[in-house]
Amino acid sequence: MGNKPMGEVEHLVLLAVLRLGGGAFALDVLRELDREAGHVVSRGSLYKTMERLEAKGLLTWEVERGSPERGGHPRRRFSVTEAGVAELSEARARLLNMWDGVRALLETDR
Amino acid sequence: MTRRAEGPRPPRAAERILQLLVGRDPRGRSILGDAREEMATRWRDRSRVLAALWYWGYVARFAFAYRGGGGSSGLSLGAGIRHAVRGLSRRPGFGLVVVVTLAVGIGATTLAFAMVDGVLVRPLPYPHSDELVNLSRVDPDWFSAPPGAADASGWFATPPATFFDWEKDAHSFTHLGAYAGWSGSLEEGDEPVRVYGAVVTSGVFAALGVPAERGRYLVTGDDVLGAAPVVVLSHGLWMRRFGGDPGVVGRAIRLDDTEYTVVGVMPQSFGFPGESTDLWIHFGDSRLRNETRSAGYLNAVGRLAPGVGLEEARADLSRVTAEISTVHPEERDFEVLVFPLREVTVAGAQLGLLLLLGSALMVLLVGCANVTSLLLTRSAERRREFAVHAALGAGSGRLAGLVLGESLVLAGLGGLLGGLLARVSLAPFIAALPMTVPRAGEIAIDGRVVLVVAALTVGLAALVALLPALQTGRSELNATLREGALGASGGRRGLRSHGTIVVVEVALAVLLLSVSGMFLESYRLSMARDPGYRVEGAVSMYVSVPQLRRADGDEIHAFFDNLTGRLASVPGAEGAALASQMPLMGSYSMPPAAVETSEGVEETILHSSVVSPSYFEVMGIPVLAGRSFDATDAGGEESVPVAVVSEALAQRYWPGQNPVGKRIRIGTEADGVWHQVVGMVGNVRYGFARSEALEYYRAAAQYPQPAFNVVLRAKGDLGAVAAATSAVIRGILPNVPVSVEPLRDRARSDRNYRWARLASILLGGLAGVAVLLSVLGIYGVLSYAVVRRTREIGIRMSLGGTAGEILRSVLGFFLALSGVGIALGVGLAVVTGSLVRSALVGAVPTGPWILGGVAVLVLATVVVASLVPALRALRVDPVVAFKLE
Repeated sequence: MGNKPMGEVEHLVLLAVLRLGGGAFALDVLRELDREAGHVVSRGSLYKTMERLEAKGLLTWEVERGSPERGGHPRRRFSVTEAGVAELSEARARLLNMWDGVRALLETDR
Repeated sequence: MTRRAEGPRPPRAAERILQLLVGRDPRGRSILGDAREEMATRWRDRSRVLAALWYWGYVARFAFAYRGGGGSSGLSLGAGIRHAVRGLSRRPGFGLVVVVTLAVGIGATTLAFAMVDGVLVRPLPYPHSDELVNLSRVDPDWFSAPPGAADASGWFATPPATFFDWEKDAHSFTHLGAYAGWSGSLEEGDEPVRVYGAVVTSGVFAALGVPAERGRYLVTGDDVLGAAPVVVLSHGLWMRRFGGDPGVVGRAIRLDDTEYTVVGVMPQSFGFPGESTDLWIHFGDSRLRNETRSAGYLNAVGRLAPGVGLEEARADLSRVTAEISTVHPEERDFEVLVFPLREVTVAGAQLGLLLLLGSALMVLLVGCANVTSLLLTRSAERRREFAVHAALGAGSGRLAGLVLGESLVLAGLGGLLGGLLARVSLAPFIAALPMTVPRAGEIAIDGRVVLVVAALTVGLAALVALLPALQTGRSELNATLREGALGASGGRRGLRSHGTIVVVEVALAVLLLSVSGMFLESYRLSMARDPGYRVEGAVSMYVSVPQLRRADGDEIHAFFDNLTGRLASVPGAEGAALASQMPLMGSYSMPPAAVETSEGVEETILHSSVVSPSYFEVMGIPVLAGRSFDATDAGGEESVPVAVVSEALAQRYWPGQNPVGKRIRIGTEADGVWHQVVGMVGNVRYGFARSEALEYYRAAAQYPQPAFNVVLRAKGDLGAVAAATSAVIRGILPNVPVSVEPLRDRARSDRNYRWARLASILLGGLAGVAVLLSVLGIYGVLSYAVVRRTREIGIRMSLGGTAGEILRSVLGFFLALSGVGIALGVGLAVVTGSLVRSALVGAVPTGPWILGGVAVLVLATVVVASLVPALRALRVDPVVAFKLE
C-alpha cells in the first residue's frame, strides 16, 4: 500500500460497510454511521471519502438498477476489498497497541 | 399521473446543477439517485415544498463538501466558486458593491426586456396570428412620405360601401371584417354606466378566430340590414356589471335607449381592437350605413388565405380598388394600406420601448465596466497570491478558474437580486404605463424572460471576468514575484485596461445623458407651450342624449339651451358652452372639406368642431378678427351657413389676408355646402403633443346633434362645482352616465402627456444611474492609480517636483481619457439623434445645445470625481512611500 494511515472517517466508513454486510448502499452507510458511531457526515464528504478509499483500492462497488423512486438512476452496492480488510486489521492492531496501558491511566484520572 | 409512477421529481434546475457537479457516469448517476431517494422520503413524510427546499440546500452544501469529481477538468470552476464565496464573505463590502451594481443593471434590463417581449415580440393572442392583417383606406396625399405600418394605425376612414365591395371582390382573404369605435350608456343596475365598445361586422370575429366563452360571437346573419339587435359582452363587463351571471346569454339589455339581446361572452384574453373593449355590437343598424364613398369611419382586419403573402394581398386590393373606381370615381384618390396586424398594433410603442431597452442595456454595460475595473484592481492585488498558487503547482486553468468562479458567483447573485427587483417592480410599472402602450396586459416575467436573464447573467460573468482572467493567465510567475518583492510601481498593462474602461464609461454616460436630455427638454418645451385656451378654472363633460337621436333641430336646440342655462347658474359658474369636439375630450372630427383660395378650390382635410356662441369666451380662446357666432346664425332654410376659422388655417390658405368673407366648403364636391367665414380665433392644441390645429368651427344652431361636450368656466373649488354640475345633469338626464372632471385633470391623464412624462422619468433615471456608476468607476480607477504610483509620486516629490507637476501627471492622463470618452459619446449621440427625435411625442428640442451641456456636465463630474484621489496624491509622504512594501 505505502499510503499514509487512514483517517478516522475512512476508518469508520470501511467499518460501516463491513457491518452492513451485503446491503451496503451509500445512504445505509450514512445511517449506520449516524446510528452506531454517532458521527454525522455530510453526503458530499461521504462520497468524497468513498472515492478516496476506492482510489487506495480499499473499497469497491458494483452497479444495480435503481427503483422508480430514484428516477431510474442506478445505485451502487459497496464492499470492502481484501486489501481494505487487511488495512483495517492493521489499523486495529496499531490502535490497540497504542491503547495498551492507557486505559488504567484514564480510569485513575477520573 | 405519469409523474406519480415516476416518483416525485426534484427541482429541475437544482438537479441539473448537481449533475454538473457529479457527472454522468454511473458514479455520478448513483449520487443523483441517492439524492432523489432521500428527497422522496421527505416528500412523503413532510411536504412537497419542504422536500424541494431540502433538495436545493442539499445541492448547495454538496457543492462545497464534494471537491471535484474523479476526473479533474483543466478549468477548476468549482474550486473558484468555493474560493470566491470564502473570499467574499471576508470582504462583504466589495461583494455588496458589485452585486448591487449588477443587480440594478440586470433588473432594469429584465424589466425593459419583459416589456419588449410582451409588447413587440410575442405573437398576438389569436390563432395563427401571423395571418392577420390590418387594412386602412387612406389618401396618399395625407402623408409626406410613403406610409408605413405606423401610419396605417388608427385610420378609421373606410366607408361601409367600400368595405363591402372589398369583402365581395377580394380573393386573398378567408375572412374580412370592419369595425369602428362605439360608446354609449348601459342601463343596468342602479346607475347607468358609460361603456366603450365597437360596432363590428361578423367578419371581425371570424377572422380573429377566437371562440366565445359562452354563447356565440356575431355571425353573417347579424350583419343583415334590419337584423335583430344583438351584442356580445367582454369577459370584464360580464363580471363587472352582470356578476358573471351564467344566464346572461339570451337576456335583453338596454344600450343608449335601444334593446339588444346578449348572444355571447368573449373569453378574458380577448380584447379587440383594444384591451378595454367592453362589448361588440352587430352591424345591422341602418344608421351605420350609407352609400358615401368620399369619407368613412371604419377600419378593417382580415385573415390571409392559406399561401397568400402580403404582396399578393396588396395587389389584390389595388385591383379591387381600381375596379370600384370605374363605377365610383371618387375612390380613385385612395389606396389601401395592408400591413400585418401585429406591426400596426405595436407601431406606436416600438421606438420608445426599444430606446428603453437600449438605455437599460447601457446602464448594465456601465455597471459591468465598473465591476471589471473592481475585479482588475482586485486581481492585481492578488497577483502575488496567484503567483504563490502557481509556484505550488496550480496550472493557469486553475488560476483562471479562480477569477471566473468569483465573477460567476457575483454575477449569479446580481442576477438573482436583479430578477427579484424586476419581479417586484413589474406590477406598479405596468400600472404607470399610459394607454398608448398597447398589449400592456401581456407584459410578464415568464420562463422566456428568466431564460434571457440567466443567459445575460452568465454572459456578464464571462465578460466581466475576461480581462482579469486573461491577465491572470498571462502573469509571468517570476516577474510577478520579483515585482512584488521590489514593490509594485507600474503595471502598464493594468492601467491600459483601466483606461479603456474609463473611456467606455464616459462615452456611455454622455450618450445616455443626451438621450434622456432630449426627452426631458422635449417634455419641458411641450409643457411650456401655450395650449391656446385656459386649462385652469374649467370643468368639462360629455353629454350624449339617446332620446334626442330622433328629435328635430329645434328640440335639440331647446334641450341644450336649457342644459347650459341651468349649468351656468350652478354656484361659482361663470358660463357654459357646447362643442362637438374640444381639447382633451379625446375625439377628433376631420370630415372632407375644401377651401376657396386665390388659386382656386383646394380639397383638404381639416379639424372641425360644432360649437355654441359662447364657446370661445368660456374656453378663453381669443377672437382675433370678425366675430364669434351669435343668435343670427340660426338654423333653417333662409339662414347663411357660417364658419369661424383658426389663425393657423387662415395663414395657411389666405396668408396676409383678412379671412372674414372667405368661403369653406364642408363635405365633398357632390354633397358639400359652402360656408362663409365670419371670424378668426386663436389656435388651439387638442392635446399635449399635438400641433396647432388647422381648424374651422361651425355653429351649433346650424348643426344640431344629440351629443355634445359641455364646458363650464367657474371660480372657486372645482370639485364642488363638478359635484353640483353632476347633480344638475342627473336631475335632467337620470339615465345618462356623465362624468364631470376639471380640464386640469383631463390634461394630466392625456396619454401623450403621460408617455412623455414616463419616458422622461425612466430615461432620466437610467441616465442618472449610469452617471453615478461612471463617477464611482472613475473615482475607483483613479484612486487605484494613485495608490499604484505612490512610490513614483514619492520619488518625484523628493526630487523637488511641484504640486502642479504631480497633479498634471496624475490627472492629465485621465482627463485626456475622459476627453476621448466624451468625444466618442457625443459622436454616438449624433449618430442616434434622428432615431431619438422620431421617438419623441412632443416638441423637438435642438440637439447641439443639449449635447454641449451634457459634455460640460460630464467633464465637470469627471474632474470632481478625480479631485479627491488627486489631492491624496499630493499628500504622499516621500518617506512613507519608500517604506511601502
